[in-house]
Amino acid sequence: MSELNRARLTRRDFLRTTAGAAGALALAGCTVPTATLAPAGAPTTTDVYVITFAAFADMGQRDATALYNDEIRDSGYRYVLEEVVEGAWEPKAVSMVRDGDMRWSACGIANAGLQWNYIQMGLVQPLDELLATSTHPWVNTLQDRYYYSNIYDATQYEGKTYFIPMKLNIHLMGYREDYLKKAGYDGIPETWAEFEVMLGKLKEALADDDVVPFAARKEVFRTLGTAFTTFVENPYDENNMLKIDSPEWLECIAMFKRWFDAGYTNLQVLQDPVADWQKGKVAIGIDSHSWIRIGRAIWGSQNIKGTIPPKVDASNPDRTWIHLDSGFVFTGAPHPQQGLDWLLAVLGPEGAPANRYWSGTLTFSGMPVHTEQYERLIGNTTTHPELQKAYAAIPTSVLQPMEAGRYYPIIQSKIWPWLERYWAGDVSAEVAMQNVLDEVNAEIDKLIS
Amino acid sequence: MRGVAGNLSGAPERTPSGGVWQAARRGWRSRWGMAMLGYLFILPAMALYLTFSAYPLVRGVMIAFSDYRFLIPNHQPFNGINNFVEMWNDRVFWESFRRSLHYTVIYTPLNVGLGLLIALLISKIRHPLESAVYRVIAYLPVVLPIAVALLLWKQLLHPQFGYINYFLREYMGIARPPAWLADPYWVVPTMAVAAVWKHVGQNILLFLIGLYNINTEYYEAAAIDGAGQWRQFTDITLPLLRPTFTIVLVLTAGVLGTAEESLILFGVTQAGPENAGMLVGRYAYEIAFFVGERRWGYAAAINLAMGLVSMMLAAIVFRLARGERME
Amino acid sequence: MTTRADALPRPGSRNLLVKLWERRRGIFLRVVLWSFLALFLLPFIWALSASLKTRQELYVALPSLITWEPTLANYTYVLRRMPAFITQFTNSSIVTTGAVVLQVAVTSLAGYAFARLRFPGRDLIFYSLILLNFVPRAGGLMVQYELMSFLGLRNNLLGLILAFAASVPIPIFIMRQTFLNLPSAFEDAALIDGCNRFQAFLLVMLPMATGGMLVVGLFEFIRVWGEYLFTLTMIDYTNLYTLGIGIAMNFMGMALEDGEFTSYGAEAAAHLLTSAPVLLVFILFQRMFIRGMMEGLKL
Repeated sequence: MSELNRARLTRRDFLRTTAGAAGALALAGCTVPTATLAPAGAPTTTDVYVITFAAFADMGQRDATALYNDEIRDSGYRYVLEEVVEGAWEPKAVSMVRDGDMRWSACGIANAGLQWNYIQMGLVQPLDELLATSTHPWVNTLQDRYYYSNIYDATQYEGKTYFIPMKLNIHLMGYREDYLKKAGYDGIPETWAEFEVMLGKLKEALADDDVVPFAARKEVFRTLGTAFTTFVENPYDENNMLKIDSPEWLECIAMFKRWFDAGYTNLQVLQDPVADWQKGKVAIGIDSHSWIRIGRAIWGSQNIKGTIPPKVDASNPDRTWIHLDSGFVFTGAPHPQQGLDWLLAVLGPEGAPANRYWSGTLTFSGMPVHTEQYERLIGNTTTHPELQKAYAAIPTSVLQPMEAGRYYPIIQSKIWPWLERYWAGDVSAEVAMQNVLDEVNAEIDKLIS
Repeated sequence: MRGVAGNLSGAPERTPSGGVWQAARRGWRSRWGMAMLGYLFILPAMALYLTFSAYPLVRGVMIAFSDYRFLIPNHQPFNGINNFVEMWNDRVFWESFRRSLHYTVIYTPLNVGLGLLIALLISKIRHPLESAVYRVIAYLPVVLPIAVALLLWKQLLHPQFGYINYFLREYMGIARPPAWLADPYWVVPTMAVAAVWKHVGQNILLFLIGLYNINTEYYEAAAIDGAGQWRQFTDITLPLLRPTFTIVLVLTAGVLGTAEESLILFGVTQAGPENAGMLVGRYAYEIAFFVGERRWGYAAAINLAMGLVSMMLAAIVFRLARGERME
Repeated sequence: MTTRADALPRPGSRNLLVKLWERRRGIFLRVVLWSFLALFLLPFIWALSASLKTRQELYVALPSLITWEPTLANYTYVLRRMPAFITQFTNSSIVTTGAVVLQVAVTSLAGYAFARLRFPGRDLIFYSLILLNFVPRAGGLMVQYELMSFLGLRNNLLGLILAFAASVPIPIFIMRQTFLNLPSAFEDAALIDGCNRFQAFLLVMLPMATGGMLVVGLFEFIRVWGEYLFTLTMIDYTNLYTLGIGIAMNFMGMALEDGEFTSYGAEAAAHLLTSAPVLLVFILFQRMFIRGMMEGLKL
C-alpha cells in the first residue's frame, strides 16, 4: 500500500476526530454539570427551569424556591431559578414556542400592563386543567383566600384562569410629616379642595428650603391615574381604555394645571421625582408603596407617612389605583404541572416558601394578595398603617383590567407631549386630549393592520 | 501563548514518522504534494471562515430579497425588491435613518479630528516613557467591554446623580443642565460622544504610528526654508498621513448600522425617551428579533441598504478629505 | 530612518529666550494634553470612587470623586451575593480562552501556508479573504442565528468559541506578515536535517512567531471578552451568559422596578471587576498593541 493511501483520512476517521475534539472542548466546561450534583445512588433528578427578574429573586423568590426544593427533595424534581431581564426574555420565549423547544416551565412575574400582550403572543397557557389535576393543598380553596374577589377576577381572561397573582400594587400618597407640620397640618386632608389649600401653605412654609410641595411620576397610568381614580367610579371605558376624553379626566388634569401655575409642582420633578424625594426636596408624592419605603429608608419612618389620596367629595367611597402583577405557566412548557406547583408554593397563601416570599414584597415592592398573608404582615401589625387604609379601599376600587395593557404603552408615549403643552398653556385640554386620542387610534389601527 | 507553543512542540515526538507529513515532504518538490500541504494548513481557518462568515454573507443577500418571516414556519418566498420599496415608504425607517445620519455627522468628524489632534499633541512629547503613558491612557477605553464603557457613561450622565451634571451645576454655574440620555433632544449627540470616547483611542494610535513614521528631515528642510508650524502641518504632516486617513475612514464607516449602543444604554424594551435612541441598526435588529413575526427579509434589506450607504459615505468623505489636501 | 524623537534640540544651539519659550510651550502642551486625558480617565475614576462608597454617600450627599470612608462592601456584594456574576465570569473565561487558542492555532497554520507554501490559488484566496472583510453583512445575525440553530450551537459556549474564532482575515494577515519577516534559513536547515514540513513549522518557525501570535491573541482576547450583540442573540439561558451581556443585564431588573434604588456602588464594582482582565492584559502587553496596529496598517 502506498504511503499516500495510508495517509488519507477516511471520512469516518475525520468525523471521529472532529467529534472528539468538539467533545473534549465541551467537556472542558461547556456543559453544565447537573447530574453530578445529585447524591450518589439517588434517582436522577429532573431540572425544572423557572424564570423571574433579579429584583424579585432578591425579594424572596430565590430563597422561596430553595425552601420549596427542600420540601420536595424526594419528588424527583428540582427547580432551577433563572434570573432574566424584562424585555430581554420575551423574544427568546416566543422563538422557543415557535420551535417547540420551550426551556422554561413557569415565569414568576408578568407585569399587569403586559399580561394581555403575553396572552396575544401565545406565551401563556390557561391553567384550568392544571389546577384541576394539581395536588397542592390549597389549590381548591385558592379563590376564597384572596383578600377580595376582584383579585381573582383579574387573573381571568375570556373565562379562563391564566395567571397566579404575585403581588398587588396599591398606589398611595406618601408625604413628609415633618414638612406638613411646618405648614400646620398633621395629615393629608380628605378632599382635593382642602388639599390644594394645604399645598399653598406648604409652598409658603417650605420656600426657604427650596422644597417642591407636590410630585407625581411621569407615568400616566399609575401616578396621574391614581388621582383620576378618585374622580370617577371606573376609569376605563368599555374597551378598557383609560377614559382620557371624559369630563372627569379633564377636571383632573385641570387641577394639575392649577398646581403647575401656582408653582406647587413642576415638570422637572415630574421627570424624576424619586431623586428629589430622596434628597428631601419634595413634600408629597403620588406613587407606589416603594415611594414610602424609599423615603423611610432615608428619612426614617417617624417623618414619612402614607395614606390613600384625597377625594373630590368627602362622601365618595375610598378609591385608589390598583394593579396586579402575576406569574404564569408557559405555552408548551416542559413540566407544566411542576411549573404551576412552583407558582402555588411560592406565591401561595401559606407555607414556608410563601411566607418567605410575601415578607419580601413588603421590603421591596408590592403587597400580599391573600387574606392570611395580609393578616400576618399588615393587618395584625402596627408597622404599615397606610397599607391597612389602602386595603380597605380595594373593594371600592377598580383593578387595572388586563386588556388595558394594549393601550398602556401607546397612551404613555403619546399623551405627555400634549399634557405638557396643555400645562404650559399652549392648547386647551379638549384639543390636547382629542389630539392624543387621534394619535392613539392611529397607532392602534397600525397594529391591527 | 508561550505555554501553548511549548505544549505543541512536545507533540511531534508522538507523530509517527511516515504518514501524511513524510508523504508531503517527499512530494516537496512535486507541486501536488506542496499544494496538498498548503490546503491542509489553511483548511481549519478556511472551514471556520466559510461556515461562519462567508456563507452568512451570501445567504444574507438572498434573504434581503425575500419575505422571510422567522416565526412563520417555512415562510421565505422571493419577493424581488418589495422590501426596498417598503423601506422607501416606511416612516419609522426614515426617522431612524435621519437619527443615524445625525449620529454619523457628529461621530465621524469628532472621532477623526480628536484622534488627529490628540495624536499630534502626544507626538510632541519626546520623553519615551511619558508618551507611552499617554498612549496607554488614550487607548484604555478601547479595550473596555462595550457594555461597561457605555453604562459607566450612563451613570456619569444621570440627570440628577450623575457627576457631569453635578460638575456643570456646581462649577460651571449652569442651573438646569441638559438631562442627556433622558432628553430626546440630547440622546443622539450624547450617544455619539460616548461612542467617540470609546473608539477614539484607536484613531489616536493609528495617527501616532503615522506621525512617528514621518521622516524628520522633511520638517528640518521646511524649517530652513522658513515654513512655520502651520505650514509644516498642512504641507508635510497632512499629505504624509494620507494612508492613515484611509485606514481611519474605512474603520469608521459602518457606524450607521450600530444596534448595540442603543440596546445597552436603554435596554431592550424601549429605545430611549420618545424612541430618540432608535438608530437604524437598532430598528433592523428589533424587526429581526423583537417585533411581530420577525421579518428577517425586511431587516436584511435594511442592513444591506445601510451597508451600501455607509460604504458610499466613506468614499465621499475620503474623496473630500483627499481633495482638500491636494490644494 | 530618522524619526522626530531622534531630533532632540541640541544644547546651546539656541539662545536663552527661545529655550524659555520652548519650556513654556512644553507646559502649555501638557496642560492641553492632560485636560483631554482627564476626560479619558473620568469614567474610570468615577467608577473607582463610586465602587468604594456606601449607598448613603452615593445618594444623599452630592456626588464627589473623592470618598473619605472607602468601603469594600460593594466588591464583597458582587462576589458573594451575586452568584450570576461568578457564573458569567467563568463563562467569559471559557469562551475567551477557547476562542483565543483556537484562533491563534488556525491562523498560525494558515498564515504560515500563505507566507511559505506555494499552492494554486494561494494569493487569490488570501486577497479575497481580506477584501470580503469590508463587504457589508446584510444577513448578519439573522443568518448566523439560523446557522447556529441548524448546527445545534445556539445556547452553547462552544458555538460562541467557534463563531468568535472564525473572524480570521486580519489575524491571518498578521500571521502571514510575521512568517514573511522570518528568515527562511532556519526552516531550510530544519528540512535538510530531516524534519518534515509540519515539524519544521511547529518546532522551528512557530517558536519564532510568538510575537505575531501574541498580537493576534491579545486582540482576540479583548474583542471576545467584551462582545455584546452576538452573544445576546445566541444565548437565551442566563446560566450561559457571558460578562459582556451579563454586566448590562444584572442590574437592569433593579432599576426597572418601581423606581427603587439602583445600586450604583455595586454596579460600579461589577464594572471594574468585569474590566479587570482586559485592562490588566492591555497594560502588561501595551507595546504589542502598537505592533499589532502597525501590522494592520500595512493592509
